[in-house]
Amino acid sequence: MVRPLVELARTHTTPSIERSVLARLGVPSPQARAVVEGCLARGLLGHGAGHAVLRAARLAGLDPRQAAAELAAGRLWETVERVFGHQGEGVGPGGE
Amino acid sequence: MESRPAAPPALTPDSPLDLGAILAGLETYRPRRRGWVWRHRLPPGTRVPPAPFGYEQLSPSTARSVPLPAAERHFWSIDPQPEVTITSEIASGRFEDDLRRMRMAAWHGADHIMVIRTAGQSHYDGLIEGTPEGVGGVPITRKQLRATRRALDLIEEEVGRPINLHSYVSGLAGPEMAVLFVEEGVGGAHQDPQYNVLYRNVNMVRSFVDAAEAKTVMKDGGLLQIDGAHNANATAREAWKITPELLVQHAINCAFSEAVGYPRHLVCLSTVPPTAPPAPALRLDLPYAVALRELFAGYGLRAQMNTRHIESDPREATVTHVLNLLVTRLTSAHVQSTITPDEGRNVPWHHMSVAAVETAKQALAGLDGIGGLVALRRDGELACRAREIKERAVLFLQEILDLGGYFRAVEEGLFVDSGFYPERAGDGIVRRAEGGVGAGTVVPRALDYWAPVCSHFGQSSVPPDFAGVKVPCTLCDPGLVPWVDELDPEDNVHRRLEEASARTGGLLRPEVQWAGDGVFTLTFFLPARREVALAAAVEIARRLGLLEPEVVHSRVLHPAEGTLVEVKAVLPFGVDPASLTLPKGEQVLPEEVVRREVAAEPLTVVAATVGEDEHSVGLREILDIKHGGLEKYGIRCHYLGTSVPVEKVLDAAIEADADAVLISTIITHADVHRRQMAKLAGLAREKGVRDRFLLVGGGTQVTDQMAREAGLDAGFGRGAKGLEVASYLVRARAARRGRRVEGTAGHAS
Repeated sequence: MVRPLVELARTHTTPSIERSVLARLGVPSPQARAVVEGCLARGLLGHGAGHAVLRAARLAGLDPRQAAAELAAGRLWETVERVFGHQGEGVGPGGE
Repeated sequence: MESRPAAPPALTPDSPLDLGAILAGLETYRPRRRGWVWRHRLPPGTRVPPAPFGYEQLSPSTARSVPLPAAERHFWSIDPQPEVTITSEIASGRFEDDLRRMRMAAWHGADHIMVIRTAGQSHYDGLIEGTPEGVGGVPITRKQLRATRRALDLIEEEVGRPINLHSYVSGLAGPEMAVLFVEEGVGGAHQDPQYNVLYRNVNMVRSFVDAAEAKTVMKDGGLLQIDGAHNANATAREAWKITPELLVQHAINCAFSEAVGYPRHLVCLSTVPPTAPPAPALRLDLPYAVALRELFAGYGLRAQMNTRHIESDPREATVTHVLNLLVTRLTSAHVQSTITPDEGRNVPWHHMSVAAVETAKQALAGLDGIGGLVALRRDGELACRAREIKERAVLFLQEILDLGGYFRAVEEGLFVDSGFYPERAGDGIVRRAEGGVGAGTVVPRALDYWAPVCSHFGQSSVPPDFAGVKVPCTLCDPGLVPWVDELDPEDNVHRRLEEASARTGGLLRPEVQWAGDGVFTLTFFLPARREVALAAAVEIARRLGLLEPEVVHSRVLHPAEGTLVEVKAVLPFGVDPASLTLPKGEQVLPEEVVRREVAAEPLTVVAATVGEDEHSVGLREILDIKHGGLEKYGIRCHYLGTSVPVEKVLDAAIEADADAVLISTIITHADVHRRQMAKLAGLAREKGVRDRFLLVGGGTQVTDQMAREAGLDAGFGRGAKGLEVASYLVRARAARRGRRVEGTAGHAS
């Protein structure tokens, strides 16, 4: 009975999961919230918010927390979107 | 910024918690451990010295505690601690006031502090920061948890036993909460995706996807997980009919938890005996308790007390809770949670939290080893009913599968239906997979999805160009944990502490939950029918000058003869402790010390009520064995009776070669009590025997100072106890020989 539920969890993510990933990277909660909202708005959450932050960090030569702060302030998003290709890839409205 | 030390000083039993010291420098505080700590179970038969009896279900005693009331006089002041963890739920809305209550609860036997969240936090999509005031609970934030954990560090050092902090990983921010809890040293948490779905109307897809991640973080952090099945008890109309579904709910959370790797021993089933008297509670509750434990062997069990049937009467609630504890002891539990006996009428008060912990401690100690005395019958009604509940649960599970799975079953309203399954009343809770709070927020993971962290559940792959790159992680390196302080300059703990200080103005006020709240209750009987009694009670409180009077409990003793009422009110003034004259408080010795001293060297007293005075009760209470008087400690007492002339008392003392003379004078007109005492002292000097005897005066109007002024060695007034007099005699005799008697049991009251 729980197998389909576990499979669903294995293959999906949520804003809270992604904020919790950023938390583990040391990102304070107000910034984590802004970064995840930014990912959602750009259809990038399916790649992972932590993934997006690390990509931004590498491209901008920052550490992950600095990169998250930049993204939270609305900067660096173009570079992240470019890395993940055209917007919305692999991203749907969610749910079953 | 301040001159405070980096860490608050250790607690001392005679000083209140210094909240300022706990809040200062929190940004650098780190919890001393992660995960859950169990009590250590001692071998069967272990004694709690100096008591002669052994316990079958015991954990080590704490270094400091407040024993049960009967312990001091009758049981060597022992405070046996059961092997079961005891929970106190403490959440008044102002966490800073809760810290003091946590300390009180810990002194009475709680080692698991559960903080309920403020109303609405489960629908908050993210973490709350700072220390805003809560409603019906506390906003769980990093700062609140850190301050609480820091206070519990001090408290656990003071009592000498680890204390677990606990809250909730549910709602829309489960995974973030789980990370926060591991980072801040929270030891246990409720986590059950079904709770969100049924009672918080969180979208069910979101709830289960979040739960897998949250549980993974929790189990890696060693947190004890408690499920949410017990909530069905509180929601169902006839709680005992929900028992088959409870087994199903436990099963779903257990299976889901195991699928994400949670070890069984850290998964606790939350179970409540569903009924209460006047129902035949044990016959209804026990089969369910047995079925549950048979089905879920190997899992942890958290036994909760019943809340469903609590009204305004704390006495009634306490009896129900003792029956719940009987079920615990007849079966098993790892965690015994407590419900305050005032939960039916208000957010729990300080002393009611302590009362609930004491109910658990007292009943668990009293029922120690009952499993070695009686066995549950495996035939007849109990086995039959337990089996029936299991069969109904299996049918329930089958129907979930037949309907097409869990989500479909919830959409069909299968859960929290008030029928005794497979009976259906058609009033179950219905939720839709595409509905609820947070619907539409679940996103499929792309092929290149990556969560670059520890304790992550599910599909995630490191991109080839990041292979071998080290990523920072707060779970591995606590130094990376971020600090977020207050976000609201008005709604925070510092403001509240300033207000509390202004409210009390250094004066002492009654308190039920918050510093200086001034709330207290008056309990009295009125010989009138209920309606009249309620109106009169409020009028009485008003005329006493009390503010906001409100009847919080009433009980008809007879429809016409009268009603017991309990009125809550606010006291309009405070008392300046510095203005009070405190009694000296004779230090009493432990009983065994008095006995030892008397056994080593016999002690004889001659006693009488002197003058024209026929009162005998007071003195007899000081002397008689059955009142705990001097005889109880082996002191030889020659009681001469009432209206005895002082000369005769002294002659008898000389003849008996007594160590002390005790005279009682109750009548006081024309200062006869002072004159009798002075006469005894004068006569002893005249006869040259003053130094042979300890001369002691007693009586309702006598004080120690008065007796000394009259020339005696000591005086005892109203309410004096035999042990006080015995302690004095043993000490004074030793002092005359240049010796001190060591050991104090506390102040006489």
